[in-house]
Amino acid sequence: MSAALWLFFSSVQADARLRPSYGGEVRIESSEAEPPDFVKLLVTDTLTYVDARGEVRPALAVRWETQNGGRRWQFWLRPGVQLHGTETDVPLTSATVADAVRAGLAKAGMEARLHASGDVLTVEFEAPAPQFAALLSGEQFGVGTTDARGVTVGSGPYAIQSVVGPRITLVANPDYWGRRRFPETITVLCGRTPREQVLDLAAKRADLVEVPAEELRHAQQERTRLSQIQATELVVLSAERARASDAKLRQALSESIDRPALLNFIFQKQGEASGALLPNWISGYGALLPAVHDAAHARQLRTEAGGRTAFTVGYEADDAALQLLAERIALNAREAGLTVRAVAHAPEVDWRLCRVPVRTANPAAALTEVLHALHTPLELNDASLESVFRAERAALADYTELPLVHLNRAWAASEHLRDWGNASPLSPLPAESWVESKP
Amino acid sequence: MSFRQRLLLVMAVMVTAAVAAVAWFTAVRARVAFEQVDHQRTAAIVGQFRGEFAARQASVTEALERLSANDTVQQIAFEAAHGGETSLFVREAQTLAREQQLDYLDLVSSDGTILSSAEWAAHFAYKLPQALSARSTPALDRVEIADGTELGLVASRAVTVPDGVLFLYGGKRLDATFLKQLSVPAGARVWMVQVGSGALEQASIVGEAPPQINLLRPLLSQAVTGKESSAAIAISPDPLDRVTVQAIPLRDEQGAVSAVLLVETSRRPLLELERQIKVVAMATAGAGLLFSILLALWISGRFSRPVEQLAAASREIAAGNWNARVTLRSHDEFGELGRTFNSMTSQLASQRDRLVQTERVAAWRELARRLAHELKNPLFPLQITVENLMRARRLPEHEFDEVFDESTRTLLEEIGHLKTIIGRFSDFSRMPKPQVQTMAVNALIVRVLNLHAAQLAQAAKPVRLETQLDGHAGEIEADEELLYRVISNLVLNAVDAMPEGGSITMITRAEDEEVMIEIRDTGVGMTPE
Repeated sequence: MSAALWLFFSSVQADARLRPSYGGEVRIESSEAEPPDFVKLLVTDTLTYVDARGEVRPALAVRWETQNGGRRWQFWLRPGVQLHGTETDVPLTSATVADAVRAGLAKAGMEARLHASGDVLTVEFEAPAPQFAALLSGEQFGVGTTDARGVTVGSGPYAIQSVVGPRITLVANPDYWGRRRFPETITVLCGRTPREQVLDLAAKRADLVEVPAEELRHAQQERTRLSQIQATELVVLSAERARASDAKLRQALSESIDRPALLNFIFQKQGEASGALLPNWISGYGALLPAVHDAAHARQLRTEAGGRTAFTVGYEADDAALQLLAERIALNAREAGLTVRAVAHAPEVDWRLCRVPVRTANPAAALTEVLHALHTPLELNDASLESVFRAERAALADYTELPLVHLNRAWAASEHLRDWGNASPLSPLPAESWVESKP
Repeated sequence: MSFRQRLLLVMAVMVTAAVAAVAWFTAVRARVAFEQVDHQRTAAIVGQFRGEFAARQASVTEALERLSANDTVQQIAFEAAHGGETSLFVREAQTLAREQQLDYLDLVSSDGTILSSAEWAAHFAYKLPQALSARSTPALDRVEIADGTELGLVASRAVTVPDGVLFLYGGKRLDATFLKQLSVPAGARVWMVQVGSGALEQASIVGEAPPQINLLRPLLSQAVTGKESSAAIAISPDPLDRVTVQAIPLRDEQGAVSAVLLVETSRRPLLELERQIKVVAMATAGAGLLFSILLALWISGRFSRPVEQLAAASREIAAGNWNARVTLRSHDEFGELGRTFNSMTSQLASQRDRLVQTERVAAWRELARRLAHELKNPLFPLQITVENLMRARRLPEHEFDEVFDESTRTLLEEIGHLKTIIGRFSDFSRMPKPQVQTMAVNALIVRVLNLHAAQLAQAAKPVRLETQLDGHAGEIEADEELLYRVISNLVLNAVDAMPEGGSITMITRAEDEEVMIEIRDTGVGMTPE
């Protein structure tokens, strides 16, 4: 009898540990100076969100319509949404949403006229913006205000409790319009190096840490608990002063670069060598924009081209991988008869090595954000994949942007984080995740 | 050129030559000594270089030895041998090189592919064939880096694992830091020139680049062929900015010249010393020249003054001043010469006096002989006439009277003749003082001709009187009357010398500022005495 009772209580106790439960703390670390996008989106809602398949889904906007070839958009706002505050809740109005969208448009480099009327927000563009609904899922379109302390106040599942130096503490919003998240508290520690994050995870001082491409293999070898691995960072060689040079020279440089070697050695095969701006897992057409490596043709192009054949390639001084990448490009270029010099922290260079994060799984929005980060204009007729392909091909045609590799990224989690199987680099803390209570 | 000038010149040349010879000899000796020191200094630097070189070789060898036993290296070798993921080790070379204090380290697979490179991290996946020739002794080699090539002391070592081998190609840089380890004396500099693949244009400097690298090109060209050479080079317009550069070829393992060690030593101390020697020599030469002038003046004065006195005295004596003497009181050869000269002059004056006396006696004798001769001629007729008168006293009166008249007439004539002769002698003794005036020579000759021509032509034994007068013989300064008498006497003497008749020719001839008067006869001439 006693043994049966012991087995019963034991199974109950075990079930209790495996069953989702509210409460607990998730400790997140990031190498950035600011919290990661997904943390920001825990505080502020967006009108839409993009799911893992790249589809645009309703969020604060329950539905939307587009007219005039993507020039005019109307969003119907979700009723009953309130901004969270410390003492009294502040209701969310369409005017507040309009302000947030306006700020987001400014960050995205887009111009539009906005009209807020009741629960309808109208946005009118001069040029077609077929990808606008997807773009609205970005954190820069997060809807919220700033309180007297300068702290962001949103309507998301978490509210900012405190900001102390690099440490930000979020607490669960009990009045969230959606399903309440399980963890009660989320602590974000910014500015931690990848090495520190790995150590903190191993020492159980963190529950969720970033794993950049350079550390992925090591993490895998160490059998670290990783999220889904996705290529969410584009490394691109972007022309600056070289935009004025002969296109054949730019093509020669592009074809001189042995992209697979870059990926295999510098990033230890963590990603994909690519001639496309979007990773293949998002676009699916990566094979149509291959990474051409033809040193002989590059030499021929260099011979045919006019102008100077010496270039500088700039990179961020504290980025060892990019430094090595720049030096390798210089070495490859030498074989094509081009003289390339890698320089750090130079304000004016011919080419610049950039890391561009891919923040969304939606191809149109992703291409828009990538090209915006590269200061390259984009013309999309519609949000279809075909249009995105044509736009990307057009953007690459003059060899001013030379995609090199798409780097895998992942997040690593501690054993305490449960139901974490759907985690991905774009969504490292799924809504269903919860924290195992400590025994 | 006078004796004084010659002496001055000789002494100046001698002094200058002596100073120049001493200066040249001193400069040559200084140069030789400097070059010996320079050579020793260069040899010491080269020796030091070789010592440091050997130490660095040993250090590289030991580092590679340690690396070959390193666990990480063994693991990489194993992975490479068994087709493992070697890209994981792309940064390992940097870590390993840092641990072993190597400047260069390449982990190279058995097919020569670089797996990881410390000196050029981006060089992965490229081939490095020289790493496959395992050489235990580090040697000079050109190591490729991102910015070109560097000169390094590198070796290769094979790390053998089951089923495979990994090559470690590592070494240390030979750069300015290495050269700074050498204790180079002041005034010297050391650097290396890395020689490119056969072309000197690809050479690059190791160490502080000398500004005169272009001037060194001929020297480097020679060194590249393997010959040690040196040259003196001007490195600036300043004449003291001269250096001696010695080029020592450094060879790689294949014996090819991969670098040239250049040792530069400043020639400024030598040139300053040479300049000082030159200045001192010039000052000495100047002083010597001045001294030689003074000495020459003194010596020439000492030698030439007696000679000049002797010359002046000789000229005075030649002019007739037999009382001329030299006053040389020295006790040397010149004093002796002066005394001898004075003695000789005294003796000559004495002899002249005696000669004058002798001539005077001879003249009186001649005068007496002539007087006797002249007087004997009229005396004989007088004697004959007187003897005739004495014989005529026995004759009848009228015959006596006739004889008497004839005889008295003859006596009177001869007495008159005697008077003339005596008058002539009297006139000779009363030689008047010459009255010098301007007179025409040819007119004087004509005047003598007119006096005697008719009389001589009518003589029993006629004497022909002729003239050869030079039209250019103009006027001279002389006493015309005395000269007339001289010429007349000469004509009469000539007539006397031609008892059988003949011809007398009076000749005038203009010679420069003088006029020559010649009286030429066809007589028998004078007796030998």
